[in-house]
Amino acid sequence: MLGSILLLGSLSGCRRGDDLLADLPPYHGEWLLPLVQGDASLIQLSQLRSLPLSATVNSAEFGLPSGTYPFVPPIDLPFVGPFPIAIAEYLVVMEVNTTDVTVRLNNPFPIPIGEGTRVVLRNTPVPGVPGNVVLDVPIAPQLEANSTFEYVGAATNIEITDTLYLFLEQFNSPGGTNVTFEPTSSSIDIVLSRIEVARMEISTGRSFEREDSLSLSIEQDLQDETDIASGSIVFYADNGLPIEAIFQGYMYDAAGTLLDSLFDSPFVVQAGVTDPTGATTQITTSSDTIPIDPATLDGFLRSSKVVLRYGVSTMDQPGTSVSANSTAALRLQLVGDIRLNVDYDDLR
Amino acid sequence: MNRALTITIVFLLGWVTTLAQDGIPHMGDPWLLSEGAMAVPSLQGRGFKRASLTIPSLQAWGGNTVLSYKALRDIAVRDLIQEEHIQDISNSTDDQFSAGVGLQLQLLSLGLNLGGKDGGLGLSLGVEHRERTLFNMDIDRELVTLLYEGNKQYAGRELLLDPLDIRSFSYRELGVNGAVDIPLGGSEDRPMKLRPGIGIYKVFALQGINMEQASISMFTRADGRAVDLRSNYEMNTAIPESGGNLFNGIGGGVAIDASLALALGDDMQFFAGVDDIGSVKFSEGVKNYSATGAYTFRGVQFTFIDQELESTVTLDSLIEMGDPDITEEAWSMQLPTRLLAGGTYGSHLTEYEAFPLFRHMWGLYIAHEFKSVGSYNAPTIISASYTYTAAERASFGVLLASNGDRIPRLGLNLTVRAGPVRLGIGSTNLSPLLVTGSGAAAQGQFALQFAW
Repeated sequence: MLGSILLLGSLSGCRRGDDLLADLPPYHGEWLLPLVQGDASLIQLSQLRSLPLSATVNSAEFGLPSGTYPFVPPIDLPFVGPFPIAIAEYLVVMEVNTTDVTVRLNNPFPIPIGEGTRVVLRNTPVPGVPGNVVLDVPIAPQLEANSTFEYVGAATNIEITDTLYLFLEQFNSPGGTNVTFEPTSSSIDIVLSRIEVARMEISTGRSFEREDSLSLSIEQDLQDETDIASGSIVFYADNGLPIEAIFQGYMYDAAGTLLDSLFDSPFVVQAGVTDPTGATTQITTSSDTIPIDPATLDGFLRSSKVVLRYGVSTMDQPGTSVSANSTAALRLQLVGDIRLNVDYDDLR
Repeated sequence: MNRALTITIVFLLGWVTTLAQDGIPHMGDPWLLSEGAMAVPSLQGRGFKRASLTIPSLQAWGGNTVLSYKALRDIAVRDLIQEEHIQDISNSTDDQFSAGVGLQLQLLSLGLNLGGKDGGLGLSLGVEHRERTLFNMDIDRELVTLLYEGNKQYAGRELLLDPLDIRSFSYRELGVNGAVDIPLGGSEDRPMKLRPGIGIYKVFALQGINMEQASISMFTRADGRAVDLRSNYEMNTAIPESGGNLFNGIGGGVAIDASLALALGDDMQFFAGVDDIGSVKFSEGVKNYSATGAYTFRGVQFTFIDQELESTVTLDSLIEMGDPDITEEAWSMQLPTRLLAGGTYGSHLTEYEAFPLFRHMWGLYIAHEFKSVGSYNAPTIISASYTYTAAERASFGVLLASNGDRIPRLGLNLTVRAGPVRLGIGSTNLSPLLVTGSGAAAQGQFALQFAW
């Protein structure tokens, strides 16, 4: 026990941590390590992760233009619509396993919308047939004048095409007396969220780009440490999607002046190959290298904003469409081949 | 035997070696021979006539396989860590970096000689109380290299980071020992005596850490796109809780020492014994950690969530590797059992009356530790000593030993006597003070004994 006490006693005389750090010799380790990686599916790249759909219906659609009516007889129509909703022009079809659904319909009209009226979303403009139904929500109970109906549920095994068509089917109302219809339209808002896609088919000959910006706040003390590291960062892209992708990053200072770009020229990711079911049959690997040198580090350390620009394209794909299922993905990875030059004394 | 030849053989044997551990305190010192009785009970009763009381005897040692005394001094005293110190480890030709420290304190050692025609060397009994704290660790050299130089040099090949071993043990021994002479005949001028000895001690375990197993491997793919980590470790710990019973400890057991000595006359003695046979069982303050896992790191994971680029760190399996299963089952730790053997030869018998005292005394010793705790290198040490006794008042000893260090150990001992008081001070290893080479170990010892 005395020995333990003596050992503890000797430990109590240890120096403070920051003093110890300052006493460490300069560090020159050479590390080869993966830094970050991310997988992107077609749905993520196509911005269809959450899908808001909306349409408006005015009273003229069911034969009652705005105006005052001493008597409105009961209404019973097989359907009102269609009201087309554009999804994405490049989309041929998106097969969805499951999705959460929220439907909100307000009734600004002076008569109720009767129970049994259905909000039906179809992928062709043909009502009353079973094969094209995406969503079918009955209204219950009767939706009184100036009130709102809301439905929260889920849908399974549906197909979403480039344009969807909204119907109010089996539209009925008990009518009313001495009522005035304003020009106000009813809004129908449908949101599909947490979409689990089974397969997505998109048109060839299309492309689009996106931008994201990241704010940076690098401490002033670090901004002169342009020799803290040397080497390179290698970008790898393993593309299992039948689309070509392109990436670039731009670094700006606080005044908005462009300081540097991530790549000398945009990083082009060659397309992979999938079969008609959307399964990847060939992953194409592309890579590009960013040198880590004082000039590059200076640009990065002084930047206050990084704009990431990326785009996808099917311009070079054969045929009229390409498919990708839920397993097909584009994997991006950054690998650092870096020699660190850390002088702890300078960092104090 | 020709004396010069004897000396040569003894010293050569002292240098040949490969092995290490600290041996018997005050080896070769004719006044403090009984200090060895705690490890070799056959030595009880040696070096005094009727009774001895030692309060206290202290022995401390420490060492490592790479850093020199100068480097350690730079780090500890001058607050200076030089790049070369880390490179010393990184560039070492040894597969592992080992370090260990130990402290042994005999608070009380009482010896009695009963019987025997000369008032001694018949039946001897002793009561002992010893505190020991031992710590050692072994780290794979390449782990240090990896941390210091990075993993790039290992890309494309598996890096095994074994061993990773930490052991710590504190315990108290309280018990009795004894030895008795058994005449075997021999010639009149060189009577033979066999002297079996045994010691039995109650052991109070004070703390323990034992890395039962630990294996770690790392594979960096040649293009750096993935790093595979595998680990498998099991560590048992027993740490006293705050306010616990420090006297009784948190576990216990029994230790047995057994030895045999052979005397060929007064001038030639041989002994062999096993110290600390037994184990302790920790029953309080126990936590046992174990984890097995594999993890492939491909970078911090980025995902697209709700149309926004989000980053998530998915290190679950890595966390699982470092997040061990914890149990509180009692566990046992083997005592640091050692084999101790040696022999002494004395010449020029003095006229001192209490016991046969020789002006010149030569010794050769070997200590081998079966369970390495507190050692910092291979577990065997071979030592050779010479002690000169002047005017029956003082002895001066020099000792050479080797345990596989790059430089042999040099030790010095001085014991002075005034009436019943004996004061011994010395070291079995002063080498780091004399040679600034790689590898450093040191030992110091002190004993205050009253003998009649």
